[in-house]
Amino acid sequence: MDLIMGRRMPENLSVRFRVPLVWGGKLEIDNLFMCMTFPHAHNMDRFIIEQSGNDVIWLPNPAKKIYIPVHMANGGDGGNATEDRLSQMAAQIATSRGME
Amino acid sequence: MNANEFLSLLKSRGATIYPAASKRDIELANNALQSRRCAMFPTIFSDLYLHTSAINIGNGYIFPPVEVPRGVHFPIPSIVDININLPPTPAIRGKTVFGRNDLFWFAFDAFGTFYMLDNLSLRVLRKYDDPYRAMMDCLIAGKF
Repeated sequence: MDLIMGRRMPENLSVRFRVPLVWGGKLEIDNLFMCMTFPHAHNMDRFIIEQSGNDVIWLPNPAKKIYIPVHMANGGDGGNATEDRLSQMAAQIATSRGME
Repeated sequence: MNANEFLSLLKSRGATIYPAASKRDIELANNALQSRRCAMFPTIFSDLYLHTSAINIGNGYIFPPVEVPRGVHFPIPSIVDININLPPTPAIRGKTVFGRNDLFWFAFDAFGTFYMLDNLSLRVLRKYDDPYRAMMDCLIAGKF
C-alpha cells in the first residue's frame, strides 16, 4: 500500500547524481536521475571507478529523469523477415536443428 | 550483538532477508575470493551467511556467496562476481567488497577490519571495528 500511495520507493531503485556533489554537482532535481540499482547503477559506478585518477572523467548523463535502456523498453523487431524477437529466436533454433 | 539479533533488528526496519546459504557455497565463495587475492570471509561473515545469503533494503545490499534469483527482477550478483568485475584499483587491493548503497561501498580486509569506501574512487572514508555497525550503515543508507 505504501508503494501505491507513494510513501515508499520500490526495492532496487537508485537515485543518482548526474554530477556528484564532490565534483561540484548541485543538490537539485535537474542533477538527479533514477535507475535500477542492479544492473544499471552498479555498472555506472564501475564505469566511473575505472576512470579514477584520470584528468577527465566521463559521467553517465541520461536524457530523461528515468533511465531505461532501449532493449528493456520494448520488444522491438527481431530481424528482417520476422515480426518480433521471439519469432527470430524460434527461427534461429529451428534453423540450428535443421527443422525449417 | 550476534547474527540473530542483527537480523531481527534489520527485519524490524523492513529489510528483505534471503534464505541461508549452504556451507558448501560459502566455502566455494571463500576459495574463489582467496584465489583472486581478495580477503577471505571473517568468521562473523561466514556465520551470517549461515543465517541469510543476502540482505536488501532499498538500494542497500549485502552480497550473497552465490547469485540470488529474484523472479522477474535482476538477480543479486554474488560477492565473487562483484569482486571479479571490479577494476583493479590500488585502493581495494587485498580487500573484499561485500556491500553497497547509492553513496558508499563497503569492504573488509584480511585482518577483519571493515571499511566504508567512496563509490566514485573506492578510497577509504571510514574504518569500523564492529562489523555489524558497518553492515548496518551499508543497509540503512540504502533506505529511502
